[in-house]
Amino acid sequence: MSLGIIRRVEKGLFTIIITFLGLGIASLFAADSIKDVRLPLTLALLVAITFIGAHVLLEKRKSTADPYIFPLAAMMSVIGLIMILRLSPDLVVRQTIWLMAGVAIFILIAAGLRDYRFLEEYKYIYIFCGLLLLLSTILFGTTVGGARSWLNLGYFKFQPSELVKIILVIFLSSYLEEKKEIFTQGTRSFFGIQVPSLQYIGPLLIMWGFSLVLLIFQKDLGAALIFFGAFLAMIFIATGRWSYIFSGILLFAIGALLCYFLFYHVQVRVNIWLNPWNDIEGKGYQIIQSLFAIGSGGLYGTGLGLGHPKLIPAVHTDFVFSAWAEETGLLGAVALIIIYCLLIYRGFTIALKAGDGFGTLLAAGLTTLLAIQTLVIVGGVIKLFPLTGVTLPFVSYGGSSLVSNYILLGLLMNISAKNGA
Amino acid sequence: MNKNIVKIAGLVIAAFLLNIGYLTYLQVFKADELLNHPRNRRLQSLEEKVYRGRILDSKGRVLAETITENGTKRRTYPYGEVLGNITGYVSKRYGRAGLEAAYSSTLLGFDVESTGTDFWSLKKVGSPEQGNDIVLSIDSSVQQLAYRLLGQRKGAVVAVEPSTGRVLAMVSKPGFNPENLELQWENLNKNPESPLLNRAAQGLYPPGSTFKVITAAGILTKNPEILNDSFEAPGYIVIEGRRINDSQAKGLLSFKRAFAVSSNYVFAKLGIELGAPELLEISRKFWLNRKLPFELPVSEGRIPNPNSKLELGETAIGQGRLLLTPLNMVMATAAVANNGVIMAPRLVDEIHNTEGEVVWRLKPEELSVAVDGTVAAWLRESMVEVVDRGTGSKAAIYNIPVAGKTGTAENPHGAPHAWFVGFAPAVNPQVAVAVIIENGGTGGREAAPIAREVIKAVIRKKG
Repeated sequence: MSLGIIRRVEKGLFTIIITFLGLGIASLFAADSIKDVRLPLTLALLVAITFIGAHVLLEKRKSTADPYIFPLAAMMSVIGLIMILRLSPDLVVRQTIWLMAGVAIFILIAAGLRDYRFLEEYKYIYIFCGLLLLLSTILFGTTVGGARSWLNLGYFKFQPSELVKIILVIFLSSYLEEKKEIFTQGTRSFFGIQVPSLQYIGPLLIMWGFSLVLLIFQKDLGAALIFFGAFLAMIFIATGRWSYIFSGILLFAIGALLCYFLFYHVQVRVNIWLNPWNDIEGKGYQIIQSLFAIGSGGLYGTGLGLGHPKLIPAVHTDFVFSAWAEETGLLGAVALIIIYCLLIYRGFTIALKAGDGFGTLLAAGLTTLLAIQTLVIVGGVIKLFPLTGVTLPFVSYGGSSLVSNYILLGLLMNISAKNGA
Repeated sequence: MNKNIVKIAGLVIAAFLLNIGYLTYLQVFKADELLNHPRNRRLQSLEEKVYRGRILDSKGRVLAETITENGTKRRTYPYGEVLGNITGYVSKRYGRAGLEAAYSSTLLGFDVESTGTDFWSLKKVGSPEQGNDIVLSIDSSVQQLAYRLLGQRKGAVVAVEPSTGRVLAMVSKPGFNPENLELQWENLNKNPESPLLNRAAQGLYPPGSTFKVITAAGILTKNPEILNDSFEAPGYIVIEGRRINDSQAKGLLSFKRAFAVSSNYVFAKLGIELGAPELLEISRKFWLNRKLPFELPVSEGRIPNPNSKLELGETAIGQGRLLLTPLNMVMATAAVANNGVIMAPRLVDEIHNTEGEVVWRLKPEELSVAVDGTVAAWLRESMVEVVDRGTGSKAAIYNIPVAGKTGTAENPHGAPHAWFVGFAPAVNPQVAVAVIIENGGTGGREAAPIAREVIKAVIRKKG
């Protein structure tokens, strides 16, 4: 694609997205869900200016970066804004500010001066910072919604694990690129039996331990799952060995079983998943309300602003997907899933086209991270998997999550720009 | 490395497809169940805005409707306790029951089906103001007649159309009036006679000799030759030291006569010869120990596996530990009337939208073949004999051949329950009936006349 066409594609998509935002606000108004449109329209205008500004900057800098991923993420953010406006209007100003901040950091990374490759050099420094962040959460963290994964910074609360996920992927990309030969040939023969060496199994055990620490000290089941899943995918991509995946899953199963027998809260989670109908008004309340919402939406949905998604507790963060599924039906819910699939598809394409091993691993790792997080929460609220409280990327309410996801997106843009995807 | 990325991408996409699949299951196949779930508060909040649709009988008479009185909405039930067990109730405090519960989303106009066949007619956008009407197969005049005939006695009467499974009347006594439920709630729940229980579909009773229809079906299916045999009945039978009396059925009896005079001796003996597995299998074919699919809650009939010869003999004559609902017995009888094919019982014939257009119509559903046509014909002949020259003579109607079977079911709660099951006309039957009167005495004397009047009323109306 020539430079002109690339950014023109982006511009066309943004026209659709901004129209969608306007229509969303209009239908909420028509459904009597919002009484006064002045504030929402002002915010919509700000968001539109932010997107257009970011787009123009990319154009000015003659960026050859992928023209699809930014609009796709922007579409999700707009869906998120509409849903927050519909579900908890008090929070919409905050979310808009976070969105603008996210896009600003995104553009800085996507079209800033530095090439992503400089990240390869200082891996031990920032993984140290990342671990320090996590440690501080464990020591000084506050508990929100059962997980002790928040740092209270006075004006706002910050969830370091969102950022640490990205730091970990950068670190692993660099580390695996450097050491992948060792991992690929990491078996020794003892009397004719292939036995994995310590070098081979070492990183696996470290990551496993790391995830368990998260699980035990933070009670953050979702984050542990995402960390470990992304790690397994990356080590597989680097080495092509299924044995990593299998032994990883085995280790995870052992860890999960241990936690199930050791910790009451894990038992509760699993039991809720297996049979929430035993305790509809008690422990199963949230997931049952989610299923009611999704089921009541049916094929076409009730229409924006016309359902009753507020019956679900924490609907604007963890359960925003259920609200969307109720009001836009199966058609809308599948459409949203397809947007995620498209973004993930572009992410893997960027990985395939990246010229260097580090870039390939980084793009693939970040994309996997996004994919697993989406699967964990969507699968959780529809009760396909046990529910773990994580955000739906770009859609759920929450600053740390939104900004971190735009950082992730910026990195993908940066990688794609270097390689003319 | 690129090949590995493609593999991971494949796994990710497969996981997303799994999610889409499960979401489709929830939003398409489970949607009705989740929306109608009693703990789902969505319908309740819709209730405030919408005029709930009417419930009509097959002749268009109103059984339930919502009216405005002094500016407030009120649900009225013109037939009160006569149809309370079918219409059920809807109450802010006590939830919903009966058809009001089963068809809540339809009555509130919230069903996908009611938005019409046009894909783009998204009627669900914006709440409807008026729900859909449902039209029942019930004829409320027959229902009233049966209700009145039971008098002060407790019991149930069910009448169905054998060829379709359409329920024409379903009475449960004592009944309750669905209006002003809040005022009577405590009394209804404390009442030892449990008026809220729909005895017709949920009451479990020993079937007594009416079960001999099933035993006979099993015997005739296995050994048709038995029709030519004769039995010397002593008027009692002793099994494993226990004596069961049978004084009206003495002497030399053919199979048909043994059935007509309800010989315990012959049927206990033949039932033991038939064996427990065969008896349970024929019961299963008649859907007796299975849960019948129905719009209202039903109890599942219980036929425990007999673990002694005595129990097997008792089961074969409808005594012992087996418990069945009147709905079970009427559907089994209707299967005999319908050449051995058992249909799914159904209450709702049609759904009408606000404009009065039919948006849904019942398609009768075959459940299974209980017996083949020949066996059904022999059973019919034997049942005609019961009414012509046997225990069921009080069910006879001038000019209309009636087939039936009486039952007088011993039970631990006092006098025996009076049963009658039957259908008419014997050829091309239009109606099958089951009547039970709790502690009512002899089936032939107490239950048969009620069945006769119900049958007459149905056939006369059909002309």
